[in-house]
Amino acid sequence: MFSEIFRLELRQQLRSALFWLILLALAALAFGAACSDSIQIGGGIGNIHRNAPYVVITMLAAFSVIGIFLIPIFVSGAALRDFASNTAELMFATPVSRVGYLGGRFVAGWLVSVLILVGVAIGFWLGSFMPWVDAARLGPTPWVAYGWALGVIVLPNLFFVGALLFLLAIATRSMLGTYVGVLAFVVLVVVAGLLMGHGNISHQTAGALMNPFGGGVDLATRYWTASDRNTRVPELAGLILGNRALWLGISIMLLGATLALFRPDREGLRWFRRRRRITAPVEPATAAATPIVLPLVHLRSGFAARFRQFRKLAWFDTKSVLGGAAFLVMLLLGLANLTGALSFTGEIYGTPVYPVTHLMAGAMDSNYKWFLLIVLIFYAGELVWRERGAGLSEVVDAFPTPDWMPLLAKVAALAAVIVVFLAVGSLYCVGYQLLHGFTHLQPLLYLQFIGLSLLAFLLLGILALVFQVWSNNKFAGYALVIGWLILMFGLSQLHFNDNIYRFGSAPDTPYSDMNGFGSFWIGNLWFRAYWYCLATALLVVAGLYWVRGNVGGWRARGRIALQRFRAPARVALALSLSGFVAIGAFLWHNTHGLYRYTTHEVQQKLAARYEKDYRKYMGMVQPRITDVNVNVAIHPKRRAVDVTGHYTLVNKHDKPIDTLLVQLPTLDTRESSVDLDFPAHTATLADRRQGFYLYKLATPLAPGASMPFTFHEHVAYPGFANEPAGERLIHNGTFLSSDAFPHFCYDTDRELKDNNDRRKYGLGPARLLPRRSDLAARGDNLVSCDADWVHFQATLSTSADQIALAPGYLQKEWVQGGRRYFHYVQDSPILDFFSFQSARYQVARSKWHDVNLEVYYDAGNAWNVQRILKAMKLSLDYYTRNFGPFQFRQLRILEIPNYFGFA
Amino acid sequence: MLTIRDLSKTYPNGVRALSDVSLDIPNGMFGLLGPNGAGKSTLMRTIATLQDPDSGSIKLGDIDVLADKPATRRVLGYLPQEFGVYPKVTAEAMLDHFAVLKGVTRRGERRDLVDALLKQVNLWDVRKRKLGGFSGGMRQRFGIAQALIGDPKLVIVDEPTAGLDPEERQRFLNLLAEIGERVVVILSTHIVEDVTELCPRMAIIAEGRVRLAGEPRETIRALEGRVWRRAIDKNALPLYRDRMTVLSTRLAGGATLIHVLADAKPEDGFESVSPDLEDVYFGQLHHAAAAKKAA
Repeated sequence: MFSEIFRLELRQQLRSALFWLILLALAALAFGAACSDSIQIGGGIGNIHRNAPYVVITMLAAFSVIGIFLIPIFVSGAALRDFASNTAELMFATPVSRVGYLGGRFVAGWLVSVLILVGVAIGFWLGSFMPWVDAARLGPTPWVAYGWALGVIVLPNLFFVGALLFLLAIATRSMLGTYVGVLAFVVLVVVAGLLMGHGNISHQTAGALMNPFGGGVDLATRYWTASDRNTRVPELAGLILGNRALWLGISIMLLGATLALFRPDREGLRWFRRRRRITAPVEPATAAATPIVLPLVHLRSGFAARFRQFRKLAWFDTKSVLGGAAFLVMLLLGLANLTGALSFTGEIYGTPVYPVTHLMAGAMDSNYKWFLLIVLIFYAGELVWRERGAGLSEVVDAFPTPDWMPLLAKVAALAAVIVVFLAVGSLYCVGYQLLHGFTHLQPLLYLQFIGLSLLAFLLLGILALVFQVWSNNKFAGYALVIGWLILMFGLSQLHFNDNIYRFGSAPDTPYSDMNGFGSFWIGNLWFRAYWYCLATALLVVAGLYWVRGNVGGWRARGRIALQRFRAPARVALALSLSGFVAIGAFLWHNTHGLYRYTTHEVQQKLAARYEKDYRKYMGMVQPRITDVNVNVAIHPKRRAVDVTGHYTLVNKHDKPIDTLLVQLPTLDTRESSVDLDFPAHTATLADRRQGFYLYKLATPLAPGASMPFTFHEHVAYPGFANEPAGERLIHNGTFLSSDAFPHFCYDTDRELKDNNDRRKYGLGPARLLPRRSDLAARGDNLVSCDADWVHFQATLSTSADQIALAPGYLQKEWVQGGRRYFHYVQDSPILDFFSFQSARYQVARSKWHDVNLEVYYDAGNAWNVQRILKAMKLSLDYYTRNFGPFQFRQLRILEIPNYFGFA
Repeated sequence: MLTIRDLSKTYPNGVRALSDVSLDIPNGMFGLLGPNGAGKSTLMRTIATLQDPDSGSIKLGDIDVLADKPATRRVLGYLPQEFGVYPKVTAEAMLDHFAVLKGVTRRGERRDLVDALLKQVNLWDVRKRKLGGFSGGMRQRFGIAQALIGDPKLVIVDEPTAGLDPEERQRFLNLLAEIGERVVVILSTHIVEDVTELCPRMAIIAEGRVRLAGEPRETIRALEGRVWRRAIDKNALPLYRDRMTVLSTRLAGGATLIHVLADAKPEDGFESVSPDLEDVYFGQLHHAAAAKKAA
């Protein structure tokens, strides 16, 4: 009996087009991972071979994770087949045994999933033989690793997921229930991943055991060197063995539970057997004795009536989503996932932090919002098909509502759903904050985050609706959305990141408590406006093709669309398209006119070019900077800065210097210029793109002699770029550094670092750090290649409400022409590295012996100022006792916006 | 007065659902009789603005139904052959929703209307109950309630009595008859009695063509003296089919009772019966089948 069921099921599965489609798609993906740089799965980067054992194992493990979205199709499909095709009652009336029936179905479904992964392995294996693959990046075919990955990772993983989904499918007898199970399972994996990856070592063992995909592997190979990864296979022992045994045991228990719960009858398993049956319909014995006179009503079709109808429809659709099982399940899963994320938000590397609002928003971004994606895609289909699905379309289509109304109501309903979903998450976060005694709530900030997310998600919702309407087939609609998401993912993998052609995308809006959203929201909103214009046009066209009544076929729909394409639709389409083009031109002016948009490939080419052309000038004898006197005028409102700098350059070598090498900054903003002024010279090389210049001095600089060098630099960040640009020059919290000043050496930081990138551009292997015996390298300190100790002074100016800071002791502060000026002098020589800050700072002062202690902080972030002052004192105590005296008379700690991954 | 002229419709799969259908339908109940697949629903949906014909015209008074769908929809009440409900919504809320869509946007007006409609179709007591729990008859009455919103001039009900028990069916038809005194009501059905009992006028439609249109009584009178009945042996039925126009066969008490259409007594053993609409109906279908065979 088992074998009969098994063979039947297997034959059905292998005959399905979906199986081959998925097999080929995933195998192609693995093939690409093995032979192209665009697809990165498994970590075959750097010195690790493309087909290293480690790569094979991680790659197959990754695919078995991707598989959890596909296994429901096979395993649950096998479990639900008889219910879906209404053959259940026929089947259950035969004397087939439980074990035979369930076992045959399950094993067949599981085997098919395994076959998919075998296809993946074959695809990867084939990919490594492609002629264009760099032979230097391949090792011998790791047969052992293939076997190990399939046996230890893939088979048990699929067995577990299969068993779980089989149980869910049998218990719920619904695909939706099964997909809910998939999601619950994903949450489990994510939480385990967080436990593993969060740096808190005490959770690692638990995390390794909890991850049903063989978590111990990551832990066991974490500290492997490239050579280990190229040759070794993890031992099947310790946590790996424990993890496998644990989940295999759980899988068997799940199968046992399936066997126990399976009921071969019509009803299936009911968790809540309905005790209170609906009372039999009451039929009043007699009809109303007197005829009812219907009151006279007015049918209205004015603007107010249309608005009321629209509101009613939108609300009706919204209610149906908000009350839907799938929505509630996603919401609960999202909140569960958010809870896991929030519990880690409370600390950074084990140090507790306040649960401030932007951290809450960050947790929602990474662990909550993507459930909304699923909600939108799913309910776009549900809503478009709602009337037809319920068999009500003929009724409502015959009502005198305008053709555009239902679609627009569904857009509104999705918008409302997005708002509700985000508002619930935000309230949940507020609850979390209050629970932790944190009462500095920022409702307005939550609203801003909700607003920005709404704009992003609604575009996807509209696209999903449009796809549903156009395709006029629910599953084709879903396939189109998912295909589109995959396309977008592929484009970003290939570094096609220009927002101008990526539907719905816009520059990020990085947030910091100091600077808020700064001016970054401007570009974001312009791009949204651009995409909403296109979305409107798409909606207009979808509205033309909206199926009303009994219309089949493209030709009939096209004819109706043409009939509907009258003045209002034409005007709407023309307006939205011209808006799209006009805003697009404006965006282009900003992101390509005001800024340089450089693709990843061009960046790499430039870096390679730089090294090939100019590395020969490395170590060229150059004068050293000894004195720096700068005048920095910061304009926070305009996001502009003007610098006038005076260097004194000294020839510290024993030969005269006749050529000056000048490296100028290359910035994304086009509003940046540097003018140089120094003794008579002629340019022998001027590369504006790379900022690399060589000047022949009319009079060579004699040994021991010095020369003045003056520069005027102007930088501004007008408008907006494709991605947030100029995070160092902002409204509140400007943080400039001397990196952007002229320097006199070849910049090794510009070189390509990754060996594979280097090989692609014909560069040799990356250079290691210089040897300790390398005297030339020892001639430079950590931060500069063209200076030792320098004398420094600076005059800063900024807007009247801000304080500007630079290294050195404040000599004078004055106001002139509505701007505040500060003059700083550092009386002892320092390294040639300075930063310049300007912000609306509050200052807290204290003293430690003779040293002035100062903390510059933002008024909204006064949380730990006293602690910082105390820590400064304790540190100075400790350091002076153990290391040596403190050489300065002041110690200042400054707050900067959290746009940076450091400090 | 609804005027239908030369309506034709061929589906993409080649099925000719309507060919040259012309009908004049005055106020009152109009019965549209035909077998399954005759084109009744296509005709109904076309009148209800849900489908476009390939050619032909429909006029409702001054309104060109095919050209001015919004105007038609304002005076239309339509109960489709099959219609579903949102199972979790109460009858009252659903009817209220429909009333808004119809254009009754004033809240007070709407509440009175919904109340009256629910009372009229006898669903007042169950107005707070979810539609998912309704029986077929209750659901059908709910359907007629929504079709009556806004005092329609044209009411179209497509096979409304299918699946109703006799009592429900009777109540439903009475309700329709009441409405039919004032407006055009088109009732499509394949149950002959529905038409006999209620409709002053009727049409028989088969294979997409109108076979007969008129008053039921007159059409019956045309068959007076031409319908003959006989009890026969079951096995002899094919013989009779070959030789005569057999209108209907029925099993009665172990014997097979056949009705035959003939101008004179076909043979011994037949007796004359007074014709009813069913005989008319089967006669027309027989014609239609013969015409098709000839073609």
